[in-house]
Amino acid sequence: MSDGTPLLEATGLTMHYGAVKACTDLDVQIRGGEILGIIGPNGSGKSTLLKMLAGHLRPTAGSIRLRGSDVTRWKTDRLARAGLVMTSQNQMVFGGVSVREALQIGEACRRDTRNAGLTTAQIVEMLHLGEVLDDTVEELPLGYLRRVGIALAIGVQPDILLLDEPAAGLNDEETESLRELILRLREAGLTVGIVDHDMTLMVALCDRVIVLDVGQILAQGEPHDVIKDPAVIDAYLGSPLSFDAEEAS
Amino acid sequence: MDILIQTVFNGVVASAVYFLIAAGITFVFGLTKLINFAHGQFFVLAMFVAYELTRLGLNFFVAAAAAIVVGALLGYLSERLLFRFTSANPYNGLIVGLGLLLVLEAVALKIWGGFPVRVPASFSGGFGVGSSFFSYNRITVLAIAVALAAVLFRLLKSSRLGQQLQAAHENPVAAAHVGINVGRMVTYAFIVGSGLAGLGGVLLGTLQPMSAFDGHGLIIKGFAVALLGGLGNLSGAMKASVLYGVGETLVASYLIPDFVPIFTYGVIIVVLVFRPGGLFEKGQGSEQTFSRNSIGRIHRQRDLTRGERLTVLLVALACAPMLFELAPDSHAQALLVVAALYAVQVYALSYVYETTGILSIAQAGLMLVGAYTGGVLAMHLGLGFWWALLVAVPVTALFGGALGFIVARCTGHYLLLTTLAFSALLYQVALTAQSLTNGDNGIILAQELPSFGPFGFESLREQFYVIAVAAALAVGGLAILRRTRYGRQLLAIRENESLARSLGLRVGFLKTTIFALSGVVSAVGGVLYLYSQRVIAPASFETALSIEIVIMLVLGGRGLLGPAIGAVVFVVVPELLGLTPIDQQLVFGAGLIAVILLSPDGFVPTFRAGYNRLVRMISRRPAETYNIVDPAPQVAPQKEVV
Repeated sequence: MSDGTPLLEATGLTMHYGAVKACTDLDVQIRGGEILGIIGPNGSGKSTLLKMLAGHLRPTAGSIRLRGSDVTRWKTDRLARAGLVMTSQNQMVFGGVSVREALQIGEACRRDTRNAGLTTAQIVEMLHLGEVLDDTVEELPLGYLRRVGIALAIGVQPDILLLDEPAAGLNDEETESLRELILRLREAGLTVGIVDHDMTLMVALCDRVIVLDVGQILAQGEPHDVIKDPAVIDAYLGSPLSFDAEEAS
Repeated sequence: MDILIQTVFNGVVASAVYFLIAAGITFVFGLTKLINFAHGQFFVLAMFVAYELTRLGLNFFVAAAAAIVVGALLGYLSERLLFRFTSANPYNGLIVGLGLLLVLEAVALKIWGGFPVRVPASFSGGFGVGSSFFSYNRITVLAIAVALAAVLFRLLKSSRLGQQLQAAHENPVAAAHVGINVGRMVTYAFIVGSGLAGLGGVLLGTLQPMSAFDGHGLIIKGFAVALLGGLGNLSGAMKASVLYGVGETLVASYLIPDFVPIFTYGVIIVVLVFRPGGLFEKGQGSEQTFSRNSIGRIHRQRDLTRGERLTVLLVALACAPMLFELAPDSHAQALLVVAALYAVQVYALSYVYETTGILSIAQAGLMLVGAYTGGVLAMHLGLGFWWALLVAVPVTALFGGALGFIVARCTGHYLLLTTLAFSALLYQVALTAQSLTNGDNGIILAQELPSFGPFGFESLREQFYVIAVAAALAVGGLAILRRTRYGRQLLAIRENESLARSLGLRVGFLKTTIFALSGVVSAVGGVLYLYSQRVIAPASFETALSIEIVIMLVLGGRGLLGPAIGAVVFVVVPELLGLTPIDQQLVFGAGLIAVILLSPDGFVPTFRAGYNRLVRMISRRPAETYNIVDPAPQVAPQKEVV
């Protein structure tokens, strides 16, 4: 699936808040068609990295290139129009309307109306939102809310989707359907960058993971190799991850 | 040089008073996000009480203390009896404050009349240095304000209550979690803030004569200062009041006094465009335009069926002519014409409000641009109705776009103030640019009135139908707009601005265009105003009208019919009672408060909710429930963070 050319490429990405160094000199590449995971302990700079890539935060230093052109100073909306969309936990949905209306609104935000891509009906089917179409968004349970958030993001048909902790607060069943969803999105041609704490999900899902610690890259590579890396175990996992054990999450 | 020293001194003394108002506003706003329009009237009432007490021969300081108590008491009562119930929706608080302002102003007018009075100075006399004169009274005013500021800062920093107040201001939810009674803190903030207003009233009363009418102006100045300093920021309010007080006095003595309002509103707009969070705040202010908050929690209602919608449409179409034809005399007919003219403006505003949720207090300004473009063309070039329409529409759209561009840079209450300043600025320009607009005298239309077949502007009947058709077109446009791709993009801004941005919308551009579109509707309404009233003067488009247009919108409530109903109720009902103007104001203010407290969503949504209940009762359908409960617990407990 991965063709090897970086779709999104960050070089020397740095974010310092005064003396606090959230990210220092990160080189990150996301290749077209892959699912890239970013993991690390709390405060390791995962979310900061994601926010810089999506234009929510402007990096103190470094550059970001999308399909080869410099997008370092682009704002969120311009990046979104160029095909890079991020959903985060706290700003996910249009709350005061029905799910149907919310999706209509999302559809209206689509940059290219002619491009076929996924139709709203397909998205509804894929995310199992059919049974809640007439309910008010903000009254939905968390699992549905997340799905509406993702539906809105893929509704604008991005090339790259960045997900900030999509599994937080979901139960196992919901996490499993999230995994299937992301795999299906990749099949539909999407490139996905994902930050989450759920190691089982990440290992099962990602083609490649980057491990961050105190704002620097500790390790990267295939998930199965990375979780055996002693440095990673020491800094993040605490104990070697065994695959049938569920306690890892 | 001496004049400069004198001016700066007077400016600093004036700023001491502005600080007292602004501090009170900041106190209340910091906790409640409420702009209490009645705050300026607390100021005035306290001043009158002190005035009466000094007339009885009491010492100035005793009178001042009494004024503080009166202010504090007014604050306490208004919070306990009124504002406590509006905390869910800041715009409702705004309207209730306006209602209270009207009521208190009417009360003051009834007791003291409209004449200005002056509180005797604390100390008479003074001393001169060169040709400057420093009166003891002004020095006392300054000393009291400075001492009070020092005490306030000290108390906020180190007293237990002060720290609790600050905690509640920083984060009400967290404060409640650590055991602070936030509701009580709000009450205290009202008491302290209004007590400061009471003192400010007395002090200002010794500097200049004041009348019952001064509440409006004071609250806008005080609010400007509080905003410039950054709302909720006491030291910022102090710095801003000095800058503003001195700046205003300098403009008044070195330029033309007429320019003072232009200076005030110009400064507000420029500052907020470049420092959207206030002069002394580093940050950007909040991300959200406050649109969702502003509407409060939306109670979604069952969508009307096609049949019901058709019925409403037919009834509305039948009601408008019936209303006019049943009007008993030409006075009532003239009122309905005015109501229709206002309705067009309210619809113009709802183009912005219904879609983006932004409430702007500038519609009278846009209406002014439309009407005056037509008026100037008629007066200077002798051009008629169609030319007026042809030119006014793009010109007003341009002004609307400019307003939208400014608005796009502001958030929350800063946005409200910028729009208010925009409206006031246009009014001042129309007043000052005499060679173009004929200033205060206004423009009288000498043109031949146009006609469209059987319709024209000759009789009240013709006027009413022409304007009603324009209003109907505006409604139709709004209904279509909501279903278009563009309309849905605007809804995205209303529902969640930062998400809209994340999904790739050009939020600023969208806001600019919708304000331009609102300007188009306003322009048509403005030209119709010109050709039906045949005389326009700046006074017809004062900021008060901008505020009234907002009141009509809130009264009617969301929905396509709300604006028309709001406008008719606003214009006609107070007249029906046949009271004297003061009594009318009193009743109207009280009615406004009652309506907002009893029907917080406005007439139309309240009526719809009642109708839905009735339908359910008749058909015995159970209330709508949400059928998504699965047997597993809906929200899994937050996972342990690794």
